[in-house]
Amino acid sequence: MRPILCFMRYSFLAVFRYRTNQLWPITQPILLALPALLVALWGEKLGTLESFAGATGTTSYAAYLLLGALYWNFVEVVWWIPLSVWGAMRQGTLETLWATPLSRIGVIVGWAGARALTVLPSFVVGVVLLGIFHPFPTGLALGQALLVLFFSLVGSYGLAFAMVGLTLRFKDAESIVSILGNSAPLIGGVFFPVHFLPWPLRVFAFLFPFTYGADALRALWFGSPTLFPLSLQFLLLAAVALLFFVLGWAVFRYLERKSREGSLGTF
Amino acid sequence: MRPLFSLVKKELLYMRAYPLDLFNYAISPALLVAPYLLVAKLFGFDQELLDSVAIGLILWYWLSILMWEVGVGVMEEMEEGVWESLLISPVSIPAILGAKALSAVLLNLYITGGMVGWFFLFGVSLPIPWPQFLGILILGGMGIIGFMLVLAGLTLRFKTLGVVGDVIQTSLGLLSGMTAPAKLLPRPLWFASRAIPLAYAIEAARALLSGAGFGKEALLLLGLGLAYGLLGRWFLARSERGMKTAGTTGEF
Repeated sequence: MRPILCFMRYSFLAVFRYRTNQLWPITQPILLALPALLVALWGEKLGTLESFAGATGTTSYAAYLLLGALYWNFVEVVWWIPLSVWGAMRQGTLETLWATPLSRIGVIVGWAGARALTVLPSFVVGVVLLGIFHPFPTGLALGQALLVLFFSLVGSYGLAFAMVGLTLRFKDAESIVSILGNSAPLIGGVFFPVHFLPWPLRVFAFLFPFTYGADALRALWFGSPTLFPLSLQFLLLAAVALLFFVLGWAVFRYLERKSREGSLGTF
Repeated sequence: MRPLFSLVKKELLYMRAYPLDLFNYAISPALLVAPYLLVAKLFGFDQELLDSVAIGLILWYWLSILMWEVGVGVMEEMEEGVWESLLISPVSIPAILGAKALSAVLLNLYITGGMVGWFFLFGVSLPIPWPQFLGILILGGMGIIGFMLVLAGLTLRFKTLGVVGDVIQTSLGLLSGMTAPAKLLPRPLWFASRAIPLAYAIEAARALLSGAGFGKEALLLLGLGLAYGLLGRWFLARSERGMKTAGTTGEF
């Protein structure tokens, strides 16, 4: 455990020593939500708020959109792992890291933990601020919301494992993370119910744990209509998240083995 | 001209070397901005309003690419440690940035094609006179390039922008009306938007969409682009001198 904590500390310091990186956890969800908020403001001025309320069960559009952005910022944090692998490859330190007695999972947890340390405080502050726009879920609903966050993170780790494997094998992590990172908020419906997606993308949406996570979180927070009855939605979220985790790990192990057959040290 | 085209060729060869990047550019930009289109749908926007949002998003992507390729593009060479080699070659910084700008315009045209295709899937057909719209894209691109030369001068001085780059990119978009008209903004912010070429490009494109021809926005765009181009050229030369005097050419 100690080597993992040491590695996490080192990664945290390496990220946090740059002042602009300290701003990132705060600016990221705001930058994601602001263009959507302006559309919403325009809609309100045009008198179309009823249309929004009809689909979401709330008129608090600012809270609705901010919750989506905060949820996404929380889930996405582990996707920095492939970028960290890519960074180590560029710097030529990956082989050294892989050769230390720290396990692969230790390295991955260290990288993800370092990023989580920067994102969690801003996530908590953001959620508290949401309370200004809309009251918090309480009691059982709060417990369920935490469970949604937990399983969403499990699924996210699965995707991150697979992305690390792909990075080790194909090197160009930026493109891989970019495609997944840019399409996931859309396919997961972080700002809208997924039935607004065109049908080919809706098929993908149902394969994503975040679709069930974002939808359930909004139901718990705003009483928004859900894709499925809430209990079934929890089951689907847990099942898809665990499947992602297991498959992601298997993909990582396979591609990592392949990369060690010759190309691990090259970039 | 030859060094300029050689540098453009170098930028394009990079694309060939990393085909995954091209694949990414055909998918990512449209899917990145599509949530804003769907928020507009969620608010029951009609076809005309959806087209208006889509136009703003396409033009904002032009700004984004030009910002990362021209405004802060030399960061990549600095990080890779080849900046000094470039500086001692017989090519000027404006030529380096000009080559980046040209390849970024080509990349933007490719991205716009991809975005329009994806938007069609989202039910946004963009019934716009395409030759005129292409003219606005190129004109808007030139205006934004002038603006980005100023930012390039700042990059020479401060080396890296980090998260500030993201903030600048989104703020310029929001002020210019990327998703909603700039006139909806509070008065001081609207005044600030009048200094951004992208705002005029978006307004010209939206006017075109509503059936009007090239209006005064196109002229303002041209004038502002030229003014920023001259200002940027001057600031760039000043920053270059400052960087060389301070001896920070090799730092990153």
